[in-house]
Amino acid sequence: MSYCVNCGVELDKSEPRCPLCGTEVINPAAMQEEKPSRPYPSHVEHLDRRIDRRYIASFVSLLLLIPLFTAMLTNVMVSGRLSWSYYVLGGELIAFTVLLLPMIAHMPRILYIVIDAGAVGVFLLLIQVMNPGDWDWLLLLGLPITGLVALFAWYLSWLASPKCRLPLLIRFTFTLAAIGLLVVGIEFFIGLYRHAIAWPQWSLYVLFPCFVLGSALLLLNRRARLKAEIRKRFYF
Amino acid sequence: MKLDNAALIYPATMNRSWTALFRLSATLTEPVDEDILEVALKRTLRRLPSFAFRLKRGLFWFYLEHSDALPKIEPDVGNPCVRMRLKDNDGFCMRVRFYENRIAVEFFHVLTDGTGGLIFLQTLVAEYLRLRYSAGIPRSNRVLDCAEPPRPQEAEDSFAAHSGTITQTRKEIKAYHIRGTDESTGFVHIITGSMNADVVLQKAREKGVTVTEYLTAVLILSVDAIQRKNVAHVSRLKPVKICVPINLRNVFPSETLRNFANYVNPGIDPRLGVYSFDETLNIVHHFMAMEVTEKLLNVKITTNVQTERNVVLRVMPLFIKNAAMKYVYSQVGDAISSTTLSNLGVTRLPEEMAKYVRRMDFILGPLADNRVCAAALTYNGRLRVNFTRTIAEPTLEREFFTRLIKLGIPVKVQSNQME
Repeated sequence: MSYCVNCGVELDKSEPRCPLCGTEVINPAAMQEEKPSRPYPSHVEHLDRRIDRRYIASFVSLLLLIPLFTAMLTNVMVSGRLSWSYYVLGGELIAFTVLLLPMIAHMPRILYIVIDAGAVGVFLLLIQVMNPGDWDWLLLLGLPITGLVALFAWYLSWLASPKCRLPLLIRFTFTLAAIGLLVVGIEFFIGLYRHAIAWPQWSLYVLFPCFVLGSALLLLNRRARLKAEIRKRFYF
Repeated sequence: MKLDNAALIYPATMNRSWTALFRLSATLTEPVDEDILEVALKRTLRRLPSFAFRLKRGLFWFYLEHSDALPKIEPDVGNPCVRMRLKDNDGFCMRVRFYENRIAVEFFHVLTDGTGGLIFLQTLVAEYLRLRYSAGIPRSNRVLDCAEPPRPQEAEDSFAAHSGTITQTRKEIKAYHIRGTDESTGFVHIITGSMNADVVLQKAREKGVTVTEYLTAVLILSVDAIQRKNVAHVSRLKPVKICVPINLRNVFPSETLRNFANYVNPGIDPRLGVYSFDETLNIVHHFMAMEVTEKLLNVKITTNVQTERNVVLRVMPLFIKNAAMKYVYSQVGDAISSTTLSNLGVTRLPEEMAKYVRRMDFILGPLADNRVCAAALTYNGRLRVNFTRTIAEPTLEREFFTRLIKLGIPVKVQSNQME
């Protein structure tokens, strides 16, 4: 009969060490005895490794080269040089960054958003370079709206993350507010591009309902009884 | 056959690496003969056909299809209770394992709950002993007679039969969860603590509570101690609640061998202060007295049955239902309790059988989110508490068992750790 000197529990004779704290079995009187067989066999059921996302993502990325190559080849054969296939390249770059990169590399959420926004920015820049002319649309419309959407996406991802401890209804309110602000921002930059800021006009059609809905949700949040009723109906 | 109400959640929430299962085992006095076990299993499944079902995917629901084949009988493994791959199992929802003197049966929760599984195991072992030693074992409603035809009451969906009209929300406050280093290989650690059942019963009686309430209180204080070590500020402490399954057959009349259990979550709020053992016992005892009543349990059953019967939900295709159930489970499933303590109570075998059965164990499979859970069973004067954990650190087990020792209950531990 051996006891763990650390925990005080009696240890089964076959235990090599205390399962609760890892202390070696110390029993000078029982050192020479042969240990009986363990209660479970040593053969362990092998569990398959989890799906290797990284492998699949890398594989799919490689497959993406096929449409790219096809487009480039067609471009060269038809036009003699690479022109529109650069757009395909840009599009694939965005697809890769948004869909496949998260599966390959782990990084903080904000970095994903920044890289995605960067990819879209590069694509817009590519369009600009391919069609030399006014840079206005890029600097006043394209890039700012990309930035706004990236900010919006980051804000939404924060609201949806488990770290955010706000109640559900408040989160919906903030989402609506963000939608409203996004639309207002888009109209502002459109106005800037047109050199005629007459703002806010049509974005009010979005902002007002968002504001009203948001307030309604905030009011709803205060009524615990009503919330309980709704939860019951949604089978929470 | 349709899934019973409680079983609906399990196929929806299972995935490649997790199935809700539990294990019951009986250790005999001599090594197990595989061939005799196979014959015994055949006869037992003929008597209890609700266990010989394969899980199939329908358009709107999962359903069970009877099979005349036999589930595999395999040698046991060092890490029992790992996920059940239904494809590898011929679609069967149970598996029989043996090792030296021990027969173990692992059940996917879709088929049955602890009580139903125990009756299956007892019947299987009785058949085995009858074939092996020609033991004349008297049959009853706990050890079934394999010569009898199956009874329809045993396959009844008792939830539907006892559903009422009033429902309530399932939402409860989220509880503290024990975290640790997840085992990358998915190895399941089992630690068995066995103690003298009479000593525990006497200690519980002294305090005026049942053994389940006593163990639950000790477990609550153990989780509380771990939380206080890990969380610095009192205001950030979360409630500590233990999920205790209740056998509804003790409250409602039912002979079903499928699922018929519900859960209550007694616990404490550590932000309010440090609780003494007597205080915790008082809380748990009165919580159980209030919650484990026919009326309140009926409300809980009705809520679940009404969900199942809801017209909108019924016509939704299965993949939408699965996604919705997964989400609801993530909110009101494991999240509302810190760990589970399932006590099957005292198991008494007829004497002709008991002389061949040395020991019985009840082990829960790993839970969906909680990293540690406990199951208890009393047989032959020994109360065995089996902890199942998927993290490397045995903090909860150590806290629990050392607490019992300090309360004056000697504990003997055994585990499945590798050399």
